[in-house]
Amino acid sequence: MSAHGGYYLPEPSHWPLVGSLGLFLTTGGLAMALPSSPGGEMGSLAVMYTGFAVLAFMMFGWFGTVIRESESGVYNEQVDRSFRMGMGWFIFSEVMFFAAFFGALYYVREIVLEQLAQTSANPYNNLTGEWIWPAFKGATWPTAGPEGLVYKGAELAEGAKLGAKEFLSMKAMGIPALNTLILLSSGVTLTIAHWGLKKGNRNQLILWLAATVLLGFLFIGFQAYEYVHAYSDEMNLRLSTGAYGSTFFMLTGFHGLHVLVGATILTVVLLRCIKGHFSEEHHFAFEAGAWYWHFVDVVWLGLFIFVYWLV
Amino acid sequence: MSSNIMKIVLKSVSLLLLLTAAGTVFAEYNLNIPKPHTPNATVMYNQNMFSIWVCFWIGVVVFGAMIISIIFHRKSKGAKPASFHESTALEVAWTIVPFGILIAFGVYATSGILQVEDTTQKAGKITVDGKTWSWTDKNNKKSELNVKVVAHQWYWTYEILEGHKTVYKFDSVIDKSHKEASLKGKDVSKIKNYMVEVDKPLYLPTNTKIRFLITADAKDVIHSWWIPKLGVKRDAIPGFMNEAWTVIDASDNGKFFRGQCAELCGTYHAFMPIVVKAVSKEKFKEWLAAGKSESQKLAKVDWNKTNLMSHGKKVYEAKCAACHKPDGSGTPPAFPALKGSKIANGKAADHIGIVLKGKNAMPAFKTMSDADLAAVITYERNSWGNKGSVVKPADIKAARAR
Amino acid sequence: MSEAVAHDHHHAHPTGLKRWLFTTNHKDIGTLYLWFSFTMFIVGGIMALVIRAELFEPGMQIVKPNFFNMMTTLHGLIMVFGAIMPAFVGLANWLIPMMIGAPDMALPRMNNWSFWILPFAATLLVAPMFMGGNFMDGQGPAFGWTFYAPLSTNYQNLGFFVFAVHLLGISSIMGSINIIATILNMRAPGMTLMKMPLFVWTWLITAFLLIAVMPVLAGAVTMLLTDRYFGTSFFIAAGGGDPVLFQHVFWFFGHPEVYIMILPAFGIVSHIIPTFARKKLFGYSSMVYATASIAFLSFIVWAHHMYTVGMPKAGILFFTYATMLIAVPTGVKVFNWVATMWRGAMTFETPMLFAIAFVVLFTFGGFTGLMLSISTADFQYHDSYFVVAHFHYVLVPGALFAIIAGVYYWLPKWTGNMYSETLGKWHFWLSAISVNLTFFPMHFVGLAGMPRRYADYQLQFAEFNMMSSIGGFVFGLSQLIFLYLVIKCIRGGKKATDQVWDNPEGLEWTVPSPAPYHTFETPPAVK
Ligand code: HEA
Ligand code: HEA
Ligand code: HEC
Ligand code: CUA
Ligand SMILES: [Cu+2]
Repeated sequence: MSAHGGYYLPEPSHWPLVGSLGLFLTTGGLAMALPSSPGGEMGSLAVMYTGFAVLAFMMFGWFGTVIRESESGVYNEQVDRSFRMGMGWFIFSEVMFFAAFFGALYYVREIVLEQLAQTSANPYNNLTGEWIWPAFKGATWPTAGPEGLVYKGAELAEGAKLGAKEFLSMKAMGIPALNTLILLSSGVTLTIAHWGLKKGNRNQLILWLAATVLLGFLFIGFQAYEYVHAYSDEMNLRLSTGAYGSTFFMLTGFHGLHVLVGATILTVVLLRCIKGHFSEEHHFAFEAGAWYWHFVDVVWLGLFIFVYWLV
Repeated sequence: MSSNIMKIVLKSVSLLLLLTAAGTVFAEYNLNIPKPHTPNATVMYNQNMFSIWVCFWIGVVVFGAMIISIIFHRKSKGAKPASFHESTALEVAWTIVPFGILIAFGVYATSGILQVEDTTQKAGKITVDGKTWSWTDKNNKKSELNVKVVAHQWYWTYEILEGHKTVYKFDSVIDKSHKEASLKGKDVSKIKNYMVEVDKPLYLPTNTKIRFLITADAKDVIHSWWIPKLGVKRDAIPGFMNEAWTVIDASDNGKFFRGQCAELCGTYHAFMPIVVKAVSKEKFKEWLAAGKSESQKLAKVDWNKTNLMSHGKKVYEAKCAACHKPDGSGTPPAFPALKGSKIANGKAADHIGIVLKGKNAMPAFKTMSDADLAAVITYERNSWGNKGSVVKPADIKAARAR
Repeated sequence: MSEAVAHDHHHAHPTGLKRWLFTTNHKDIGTLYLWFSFTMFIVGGIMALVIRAELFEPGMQIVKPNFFNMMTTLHGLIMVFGAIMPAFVGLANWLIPMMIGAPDMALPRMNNWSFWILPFAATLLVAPMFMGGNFMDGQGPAFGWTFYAPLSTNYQNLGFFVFAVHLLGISSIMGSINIIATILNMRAPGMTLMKMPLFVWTWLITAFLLIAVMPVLAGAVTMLLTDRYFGTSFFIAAGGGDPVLFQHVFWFFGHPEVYIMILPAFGIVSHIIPTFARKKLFGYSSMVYATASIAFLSFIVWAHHMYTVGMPKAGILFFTYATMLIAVPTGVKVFNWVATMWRGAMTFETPMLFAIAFVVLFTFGGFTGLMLSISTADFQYHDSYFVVAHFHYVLVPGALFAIIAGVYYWLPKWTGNMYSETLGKWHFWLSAISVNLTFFPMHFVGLAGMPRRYADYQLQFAEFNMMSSIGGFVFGLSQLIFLYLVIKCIRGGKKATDQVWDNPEGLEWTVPSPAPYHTFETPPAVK
């Protein structure tokens, strides 16, 4: 394994196969556990957990190999560029995944609702509302649909109580605004950490990176709190709360998952920083984590505007 | 070798020719879209012919050039390769010319869409291709006659409307003998109108602008209502309403128009045909009146276990046997057996509940009449060794109110 | 492009099973993809033969209706995701590094992962067929390869299907990332973008399409999953959703997907025709721009699959116009191929025969595509066998013939041996004739009103269906010749020269035949 500065080609590796097996066990296990009739009983998730374990094992092994290779200096600039492109296009694919759900949000809000609910100004402006859902007149976004819970607003009047058949939407200017602030500042702290890395200021790097990770987990904590609140009888806002609940939880849920992944990556990067893994020029893992974090940040801005704010 | 090359190219061209011929000479031999009978079908047919011809001539040019070069520019004939490999002028030309052709297509397609999508009643007649269809103008906002088409797995329900009110409603199910012959693998080659015969066709008056309101039961799946000769194909989407229109000329009085479901809707997708009979306005009125009185009669029958059971068997075989099988054995786990089922032997209210409201893949049958429902439920509760109570139409009525 | 010097020449090459399981070599991985693809082609083909056997005569003779629907569904899915796409990725693996003068793919370990996910995904896809119940009732997915909600959300084993699609998507995305990184980062010095061989160009654009649309498909199946198991209402009107939303999301993926299955084919044919016409490809740069235009347009035409769902007029018109436009860049390509043949000095070896058949029959399929794009006319064609005829013309003598042509063309380079030209000619003529016998009559039954995905049909369609069925069986069996020929060629035969053909263009012809395990450890010079 001599390194002459050429393009590093790895030796055969068993990790990809282990990874495939892990994916197979995880997804197959979940598929087996899902009830065969809706509303039926979930089966055992043991296979799925085994799959998770295999995946975790694979990740430790694979990333461990990569880190070892990286530390031994066999990755030249061109290899580095391949990694960068890989990460960049991966993030692009993630953007498209979110685009599917943003598209769904747009469609149910702007197109489906208009077909289902007639406005009182122009009754019979749409066939579907006229013939199938006559009782759904005048409904606006947020909505849980003609047979779902009834929308009561973003908050209740003093002393009022939410009926069992009603739901509230998530207010933008409470926790979500706070979370926006948190994520935005985490972008700043991350950049300061990056500066530190580039100047070779280890303290600045570790301190600000730790702050970023902290802010990330803080965000997740707030969001968890928000979810618990949404699911309570005070709000009746659940995944099953019609189109609004579906888009709200799927978008924010997947985003939250990505924050979790991003925060985990940054934690690993932090540990590696503490171990002194990165040099001023050579720190792709840090940058990949940072890109990912910024991507998560930008998606959040989209969410904040289209899911929370413009209701 | 050379003759082989010739063959493939000649064959491709002759295939094209064949397709073209299909449109003109062989129209009667079912090689092309069937002869259109309505304004919309005519537009569709014409656009079909137009595009076939345009593609034919483009094909002649493109494949012609290929044939020539395959014949003459071959090494075995001593051809020496030329060296040209670029020409901006040519590239521009063969970008612009197809673009021009497409503009013609676009204009033509636009006029078609505007006509097909126009379900309002603007004029008392329409002329397409020199043929005129006319209808009496009753001055209502939409069309003269509104027919609601509701798709179910796997049959159609038709409702004749007056305003927003349904005045006559019936189900149209594939002819039992056709389905049986098919599924049992019998010789079907002698069956008339095989696969496109129903128990009760929909009658439609001629010289009338008819609007179809097409949907599927809210708990059902997507189907598509397609009658080629009438030029109607529209998806029936659960929870949404689509519309389409047609007008049939008096010269088609007495003719049957047949179609089939055109969107994959599960196991018996191939077994939900559509049959329309065109009749004069007077005939249509008679048919409607007869239909109304028949359903009233059904409402007045004094139901007892015997007639519930016999009527229930019919309903069951038409509506339920597809999933639950004629002998009530179902195909577990997808479709539970009713034979020995807890619900069929238990409380009548639960049984009525699941049939009215549906559950998961089990459709809701709330659009069926009280009598039909009572009959089919009674039948299920007292067949194949089941020992359940008798359910009367009044019970259904009460359950609906709840 | 900095110096792409590989430096693993000291490895011992692993042998036996381990070589294939753990490999990071682009050629090995390419081979794995190609054999996987062929296996899936046979599996999907046998399913097609079940369909054709059942449709041989009116009446149900062989399978039950739901089993038939399952065959249709799995046939479509397996051919698309199992046969055609992996075949192109296999070719990309074999050829792109050789064509651009790179030592290997940019991310070799991930390359192996992209492949090894596939067999597992395929297993998830077909596993429910064998689960519980009666096999002949069809326990597998039976809702069409387009899996429209709410038919698919009623399916009892939906989880398996959804996760199979997720895994296929992950594999495609990783494969595409690898291809893009390889093309953008691993080119030999001097290999500028506008000098890249067209197969590389078409794959670059295809990979971009894949990364853009596979995640959207993942989103679509995820929504199915949550609608079915977790109470969401994306596709349920009562909750404010819409089944048509599913179709929009699906076809936003689905339409680019069909170009994913044809752009690399365009690339392959653009290599073969110049070689056997002994003349440089006509209009190289317009080929590149045309490919890019097709890719761009492919994003804005999706709803031409949905003309009958009841879109507003403006929507129908927009999608009609946009769809028709695709004929322009595609036409440019066809004209360029014809102009390449024009005044060449052609010979007709098997790859060229398949390539010519491709141009003719793909163009024919394109014409029917154009007919379908005219929305008014499509109200008659939609969901009839006319559509089935259209897409088999662009997919079978289109995508598949191009793949076969490519395999013939590069097989000597891969194996070091010439294939048997006689067998190749037999394969070609039998395939070319039977493919038309299979799919041409479908135009007629479609126009006459036979709906697709029908297990049984009216008597008036009987004769043409019988022809199709006979054609289908002949076509399937002809592929056995191909299998035999390839195995024979791997085993031995006349030694191939390095150039193989008469002065072909491209770096892959400058290396020995068979191509050494590691090519271009030092980058070649590109003029
Ligand atoms: C490789 C795959 C492939 C390719 C390349 C194409 C190419 C095209 N397709 Fe096709 N299509 C499919 C695969 C493909 N299709 C599949 C799988 C389905 C069915 C999916 C399902 O429902 O299951 C489908 C369905 C489908 C439909 C929906 C039909 C329906 O369900 O009602 C439509 C409608 O517009 C359509 C149109 C087109 C058009 C306009 C092109 C164009 O790209 C064709 C352009 C080419 C040419 C036109 C020929 C060459 C051009 C010239 C020689 C220039 C001059 C020509 C003119 C000016 C006319 N296709
Ligand atoms: C992507 C490529 C692709 C390919 C290559 C094919 C190939 C074939 N297709 Fe395919 N087809 C689709 C894609 C494809 N199809 C799609 C997307 C659909 C839509 C699905 C849907 O509606 O949801 C469809 C639907 C479809 C239908 C319509 C079904 C319906 O609507 O109900 C039919 C009917 O005839 C059909 C037939 C065939 C035939 C006869 C072949 C033949 O070309 C196949 C020939 C190949 C073989 C027969 C295998 C060869 C090998 C052997 C025979 C060797 C024997 C084996 C051993 C010795 C081990 N196909
Ligand atoms: C599209 C297929 C389909 C049709 C048609 C259908 N059913 Fe069902 N039926 C189902 C399914 C699926 C279930 C199981 C629902 C569940 O529990 O998830 C079911 C359940 C039932 C049950 C409850 C059985 C039990 O023991 O749990 C009854 C009773 C029933 N159906 C009656 C009927 C009647 C009456 C009809 C006709 C009027 C009918 N079904 C038509 C699919 C169908
Ligand atoms: Cu109903 Cu197909
Ligand atoms: Cu398309």
